[in-house]
Amino acid sequence: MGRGRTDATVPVGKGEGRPRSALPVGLCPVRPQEVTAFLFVLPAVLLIGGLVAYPFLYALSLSLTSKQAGVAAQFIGLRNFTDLMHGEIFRRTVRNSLLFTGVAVVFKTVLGLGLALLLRRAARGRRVIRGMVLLPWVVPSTLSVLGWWWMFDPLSGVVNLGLSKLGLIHERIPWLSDPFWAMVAVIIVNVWRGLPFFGISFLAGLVSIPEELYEAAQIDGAGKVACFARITVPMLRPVLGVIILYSIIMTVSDFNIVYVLTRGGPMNSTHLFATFAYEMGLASGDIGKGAAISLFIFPFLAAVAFLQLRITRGQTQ
Amino acid sequence: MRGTRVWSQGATGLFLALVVMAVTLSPQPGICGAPAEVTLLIQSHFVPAYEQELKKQVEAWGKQKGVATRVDFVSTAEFNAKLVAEAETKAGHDVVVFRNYDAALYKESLTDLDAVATDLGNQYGGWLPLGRETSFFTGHWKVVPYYHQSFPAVYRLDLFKEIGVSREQVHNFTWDQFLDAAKKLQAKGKPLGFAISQTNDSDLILYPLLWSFGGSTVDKNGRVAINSRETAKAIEYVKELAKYMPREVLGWDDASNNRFIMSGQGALTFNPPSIWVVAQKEVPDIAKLLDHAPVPAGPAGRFRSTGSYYLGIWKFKPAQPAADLIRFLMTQENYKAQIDASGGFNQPFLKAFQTFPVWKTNVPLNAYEPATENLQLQGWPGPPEKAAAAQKAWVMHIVPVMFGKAVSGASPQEAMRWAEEELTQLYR
Repeated sequence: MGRGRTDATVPVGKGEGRPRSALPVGLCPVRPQEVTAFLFVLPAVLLIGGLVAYPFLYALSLSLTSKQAGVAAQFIGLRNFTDLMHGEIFRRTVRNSLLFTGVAVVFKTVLGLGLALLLRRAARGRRVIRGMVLLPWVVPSTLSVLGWWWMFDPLSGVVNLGLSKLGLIHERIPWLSDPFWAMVAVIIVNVWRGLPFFGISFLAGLVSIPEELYEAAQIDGAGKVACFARITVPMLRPVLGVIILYSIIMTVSDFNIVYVLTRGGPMNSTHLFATFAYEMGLASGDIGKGAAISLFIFPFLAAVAFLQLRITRGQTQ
Repeated sequence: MRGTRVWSQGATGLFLALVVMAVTLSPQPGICGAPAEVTLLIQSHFVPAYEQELKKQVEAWGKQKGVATRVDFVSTAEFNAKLVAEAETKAGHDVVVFRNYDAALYKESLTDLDAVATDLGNQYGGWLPLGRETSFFTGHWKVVPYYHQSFPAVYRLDLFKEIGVSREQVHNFTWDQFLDAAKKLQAKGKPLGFAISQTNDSDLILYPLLWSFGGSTVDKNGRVAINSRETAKAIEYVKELAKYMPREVLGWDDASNNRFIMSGQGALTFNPPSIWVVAQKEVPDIAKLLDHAPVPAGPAGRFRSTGSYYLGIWKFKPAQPAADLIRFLMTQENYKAQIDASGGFNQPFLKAFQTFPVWKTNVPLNAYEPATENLQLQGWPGPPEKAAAAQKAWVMHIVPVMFGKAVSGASPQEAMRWAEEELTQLYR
């Protein structure tokens, strides 16, 4: 063997004693298992690259241009972002998105936890009840939101009619024509639709908590509230963290509910990033600005994801 | 044995990777080869009989030419996204229907249709000014004006008679007289109403109202002019009028005013005759009470706005079979059959077609076509080079939101300043 070549049997570091391929110096030896592993991972890498990374990078590049539909793009740097900051509709969209996401996620978390506790207790027909609870989540959202649209109808909608029959209201609530009530309406529908996911996910977390912990606590004189605060919540924290993170991302990027119910109105009071980006990018043909709107929330979501996963990992360890 | 297993696993992984690549990278039918058929993309029509007639005519043309044909109807809400997708992917239909100022937005992607538009104009008495203003950009006919559907008042003649207002009076309303009628109708429990919301129908009545008070989004040079004394007067008027309309008009969509009239609850709204056409089948008792009237006049005149449609051809599609189909659809015989099928809903841009009998023999349509008001689109009176900005202002419903803000409590000055800020961004 001349200089510049390694002997296949020469022990090197941790791989001492194991047979190695004869390779030029500087190249890592590749084992057949690694090739196999790479080939197995390749489809997933291609899918993620094609369906996630490429669209993301393409959107990023579009957001830095003055791209109009059917016209060649021109690089304009960050002007789309600075222009958006000067527009009241966009500022309103940011406020709407934060309010919508914050309120909806809080309600889904609290109600989801309550639902999970109830489902854990249910003894008879447990499977049927759990299946039915999932219905709002599995029904195509466009269909179910259309149903809500009818129910919120001010003249013939069952919501106003029901509240009126119960004596809770004396005049019709302008569900979709008043900025406040329109936001309430889209949050209600989002909570209704997302609640089963929270409930079932929390239920999965609840049933994995060992019963012995509760029995030991009760022997020590702990009440139901103490058990919940000292055992249930801490043990559920990793699930809570992941579900809340997932829900924040899905809620802030919601489109169907707002588009079907209010189309961002009245007076832009329910526009979210997705609906405003659609209006700007597809309806108006201003693709560059549409891409900028949809990417605006990305740094915030990335920070939330990073922090939440870090906290959750810390707690798990 | 172990080596065999390892390599069989490797081969499986490679096979999966190749399958994924083959699926994602393989060319789609119709992209690479010549088109197997001539296709037409058009927005869904409010009158189903028109769609049947159009399909029939396109099929007849296909038989004449010996080619397969297809007509795709896409809903209003999805139509813009469809156009963007076709323009960007450079794949799609041979003939495409464009709306309002779309030709200004897509002019760089459209085949010039000078010969078709000029021949049709010469043959049928010339084009309405609005047709040329919305089709002719950078010295060329980018699209051929197809039809439009304007927004007059549609009202219950019986209810207006009950408050002492005759048909002739409704047809000559000023906005002040309109307000008086609104008060009386609300007191009767049969209010009038139109959308003040983020929907196309709202733009189509609030722009004419704004113009009739002397206001406009931009001036003749394309400078933003919304913040004016005239706009303030229009806003004050709408704030007052809204007190006598259902509160829900702030959240209405394009179908709400149809339901408002057809349910028997409303006395007047602004809409093309689709309400009347559909009511004849679904609620004939209401249909026989309906009539159409010009939009009320303001201090600066009487205006009407319209939703307009144009036939165009993408540059990336072959021009010839498509241009021939456009000529075929625009012949007098075929065009008349389309108008009749639409129940008079479609209005022509060609002057010779305005004399078709459907608008004379049907008394409720007398005021619909020809329109006696000043017929304009939302960018008026701005120049053609600002048409793309006008289209964006329309899509984002800047004018309805301005009025809506004022109706919801903002002062006219606050509402105008908001609109000025947004329009300045769009018209820059």
